[in-house]
Formats: sequence, structure tokens, C-alpha cells
Amino acid sequence: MQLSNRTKQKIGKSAFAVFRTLFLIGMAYVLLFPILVMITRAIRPYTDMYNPSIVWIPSRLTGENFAFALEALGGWPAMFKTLRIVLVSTLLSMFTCSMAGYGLARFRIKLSGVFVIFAALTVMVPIQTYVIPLFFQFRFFDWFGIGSLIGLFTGDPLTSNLTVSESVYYILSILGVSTKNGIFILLFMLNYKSIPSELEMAARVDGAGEFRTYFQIMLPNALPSFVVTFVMSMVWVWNDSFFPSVVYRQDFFLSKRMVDIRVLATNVLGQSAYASNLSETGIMFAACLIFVAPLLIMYMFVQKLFIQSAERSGITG
Amino acid sequence: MKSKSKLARPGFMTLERKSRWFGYVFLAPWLLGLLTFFVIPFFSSIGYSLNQTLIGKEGLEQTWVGFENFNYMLFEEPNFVRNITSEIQALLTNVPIILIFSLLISLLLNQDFRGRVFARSLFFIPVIVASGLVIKVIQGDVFTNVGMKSDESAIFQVGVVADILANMNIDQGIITFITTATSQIFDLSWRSGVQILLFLSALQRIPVTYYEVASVEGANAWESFWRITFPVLAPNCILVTVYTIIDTFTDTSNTVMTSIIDRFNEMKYGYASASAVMYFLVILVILGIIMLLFGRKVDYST
Repeated sequence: MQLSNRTKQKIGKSAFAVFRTLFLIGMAYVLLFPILVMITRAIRPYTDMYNPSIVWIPSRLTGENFAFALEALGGWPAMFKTLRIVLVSTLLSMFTCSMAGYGLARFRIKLSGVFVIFAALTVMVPIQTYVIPLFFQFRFFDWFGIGSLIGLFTGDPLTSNLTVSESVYYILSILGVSTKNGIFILLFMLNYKSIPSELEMAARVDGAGEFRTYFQIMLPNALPSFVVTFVMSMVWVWNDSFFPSVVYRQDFFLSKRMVDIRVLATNVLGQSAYASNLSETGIMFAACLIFVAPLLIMYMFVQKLFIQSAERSGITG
Repeated sequence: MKSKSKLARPGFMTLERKSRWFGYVFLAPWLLGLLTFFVIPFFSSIGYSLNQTLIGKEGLEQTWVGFENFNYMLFEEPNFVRNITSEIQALLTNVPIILIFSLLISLLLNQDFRGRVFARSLFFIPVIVASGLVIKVIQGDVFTNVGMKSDESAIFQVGVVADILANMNIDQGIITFITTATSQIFDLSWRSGVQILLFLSALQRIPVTYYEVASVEGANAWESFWRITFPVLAPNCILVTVYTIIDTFTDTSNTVMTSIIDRFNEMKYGYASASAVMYFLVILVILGIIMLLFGRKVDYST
């Protein structure tokens, strides 16, 4: 039997679709595996924890682990305070990185090549390289030289100890040098470069100033970069445990608590009368779930926005 | 420059000068941050590495030792050089695999099919969950199988497959390859999240009309990939490669990083700074080689 070209194409397409579905189902298992493990470990009682016949489904469900895990992590106040810091510094980072990316993409600046290299360097140099000087800078913060300038007159330089204040995060993000911000700047730069310059020209001809052109014309076109930056910055700042343990020395920060979660879980158990009915492992996995929950929820909302923005840019671009 | 400024009336800016000035306005906050919180601390850190730096009663106490720290690290301490070479070896195999894997996945996810929104959100989940903190807890329990039989809950029952293959008289080398490859799928998919994200956001910037025109002109999928998709993705390929290298190198779980952090915790700041600076130089050289090899071949104008 002779097959027409069209049928051949159709068969090939549906065969590929089947392969794609199978592949994606397989990948789904790999990708969801840790979350499944966390859930199944967090909801099982102590008696199931070391029972080799129980792999996925526990003999009964229990919520006790979550209550203890939340206590070990410092309760709701710690959660909300961490969330506030991460969210605000992410928004500040987005604002500055977008501006810097625009500055690099759209203006004829002689040093722009050097600046691009520096943006890359801020990501390349591990923070461990310069964290000690950074710590001392925040321990005796002189407000960009203003404090030292005042010191010339009063004899005593004005410095503040910012290592106990959350403004450490806000200062670093409004200046675009928070966790991996260099990569966001480069991302925005690529995005702004890909926007046709006719759009800008038209705005100028219509009498819009530099800032109006940026905020009204360019900014909306960079929505995909904004969404990507939002998600990645949230994730990186939330998960970073090094910075809060060296520079920002506050115990409530969730990622810092996650580092010592085993000890904290043992402590919480030790104070409880139920101790014999619970296990550290269950509490630790419940803590993991609580720790990733805000990011997962945030991501569920942003994912929609991401797709929408992609579709919109498809029409205008 | 001079002749231009003479031509311009005082108080009047040429478009070019104005545009340059505004560029710096847009860059100003970042440049201030860059100088204060990156350039200055970085150079102080190089200063630390040339001293024996200790924390005394009145802050930092520094004693000039020149290149003593570097000398000790490179020629006397055996671990540093060995750790770096093993990291580089791992990198050479991992980077191409991650690059190709994330490119293929992002092309797959960019296609039009039912449930693609769900599929996409799945592939980004590692980006969100795969922090070292959570993975450490999971690995501590699942992958080392505390209190469990060895292959009870591990992701793939590799042991069983290996046994079956061994019974079929298949060469041991092939079996090891298969088992390592399958156990790497987990690692791979968990480390490619951001890379897939970068590729996808680039793919979505390609107007659909380009492909429509190409198909009207008679180009097949293969041709339109190399003529349309690939040129757009090429700058992102480098971005992704560089990102992967940096991500691997700055990962706090890699051997060099752990040793640097350990020295910090022992308060040997001079030595820790020296190894961090040295480590950074190695990263820089590797990235430089990559840029030299691939950077020029990319046409950024697209």
C-alpha cells in the first residue's frame, strides 16, 4: 500500500507525540520524586519510619510532624519576616537590574563593555571570596563615605552596625548587587537589545522623555525578564544560607534554620512529652515541606503570568 | 569630543551627549553598589590573602606575609590542587551534557501540545526545590537509605537492572555506563532547571511569523531550527554554558568550596582568601578559554 506524503507526516507527528508523552511522564517522576519523598515522610507516624514494608503509603496519616517542624523553624513570625525580606529585596533587585540592563543595552556608553564584564564578575566571583571585608563594611557602615565625611568635622566617623538590620538586604538589592544580580542585569540587557529600536524612536518623536520612554515603552516589553528575575531572585535569596549566617546575623532567617534542622528538630522533640511517638526524620521532612511551600505557592501564581507574558510578546514582537 | 562641545551651545546637549548622560543615570545605582560592595571588598580580600589575617581584640590583625599563603596552598597542601583538578574534570563532562539536555527539553517544552503549561511548571520545580538545604536532608535519608534496604526507595531500581543485565552476560563496562547514566538523569534534570528557563525565555521571544514565513518558503523543521531558532539561541548558549560553569564552581557542596568555607570557620582568613582568590583565577581562565573558543562565533546583532 502506498502512503501519501501527508499521511506519512501525520503518522510521524503522532508517533512523536506518543514518545513525547511517555518521556514527559518519566521525567515527571524524576522531577517530583523529592517532593513525593518529603510528603510521604512528613505525614507518616514514627512507627512507619523504619518499617521496610512501607515505602510510599503510611499506615495512618499524622499532622504532628508539621506542628513540631513549624516550631523548630521559629513559627509563623520567622516565616513571615523571612518572606518579607526576600520579597522586598527581590522587588528592589528587579527595579535596579532592569534599569542597569536598559542602560547597558540602549546607550552609547564608552565603558559599557567593561560594565558588562563587571556584571558577569559579580556572578562569577563566589561571595566567599570577599565576604569578610563585606561583613566589616556593614559592621561599620559609613553610608557611602558620608559618615566618614561627617567624621572629618566631628572627629568621630559616623558608622552604623547594619549586620543586625534587614536593611543589609535592601541596600544590596536596591544597588543591584544582591545574590546573583549580575545575571539578571545581563538577562535584561539581552531582552532590551532584542526590542526593535523603532519603538523607542516613535516614543521620542511623540515627545516622550528618557524616563517616560523607559517606563511606558520599554518596561512592558521586558515583562518576560521581569518574571524570570522575580522567580529566580526569590528562590536564590530564600535558599541562600551563607549570607545570613555570615553577614546578616539573625537567627530567625529560615534558610539558616534549615542548615541546623536536625539539631533544632531534636531540641523541639526534647522539650515535648510526645517525644516517644515522633521522630526527627518526620519533623525534618515536614520542615523541608514548610520551607519550600512559599516558593511553590509563589511559583504557581507566577507560572500563569509567565505564559501570558510570553503570548503577549508573541503578538507585539 | 572637544570640537563637538565647542559646536554645541552652552547649556545645550547634543543628542549623543544627552543619551550618554542618561545612560549613566540608569546605571548609577548599580555602579555605586558595584564599587562599594564588590570592587572594594574584592580588593581588600586580595590584601587579606597576602597577609596573615586574624581577628584580634581590635578587629582584624594583619601581618604581611607576601605570597606565603599561595605558596603553602599550591605546593605544600596536597588537597587544593587535587580538588581543583577533579572539579575541572567533572565540569568537562557535565557542561556539554547539561547544555544539550536543557536545549532539547526547552525545545520540547516550547512546542504546542496539550498540558504543556503543566509540563513546563514541572521542569522548573527543581529550580525552586533544589536548594542544597532541602536536598541535603533528602539525600541524607533517601540516597544513603538510613535504616532501609539498599535499593528500597532510591529513585530508579538500578541495582535490579544491573543484576538482570549481568545475568544476560553483558559486558560489565556497558552495565556501569547504563547504571551511571540512569542515575545521572536525576542529577542532570535537577541541575538544568535554570538553563531550561533561560533557553525557554529566549525561544519565546522568537516571533511565530518567522516560522510561518519559513514554512511558506518551503523550509522544513530541521532547516528552520538552524536558520531561525539556533541564531537566536546562540548568545543564550554561551550564557547557559557560563552559568553552568559558575553554578558548578560556586556550589557550596563542591570540594573546593567546602574547604574554603572550612578555613573561614577556622578563622584562617588569610589562607581562606588566598584559596578563594586562586580559585576565582582558575574559574576566570576557564571562562576566558570558553569565550575565546565560542564567543567570537556568535553574531550578537541578531
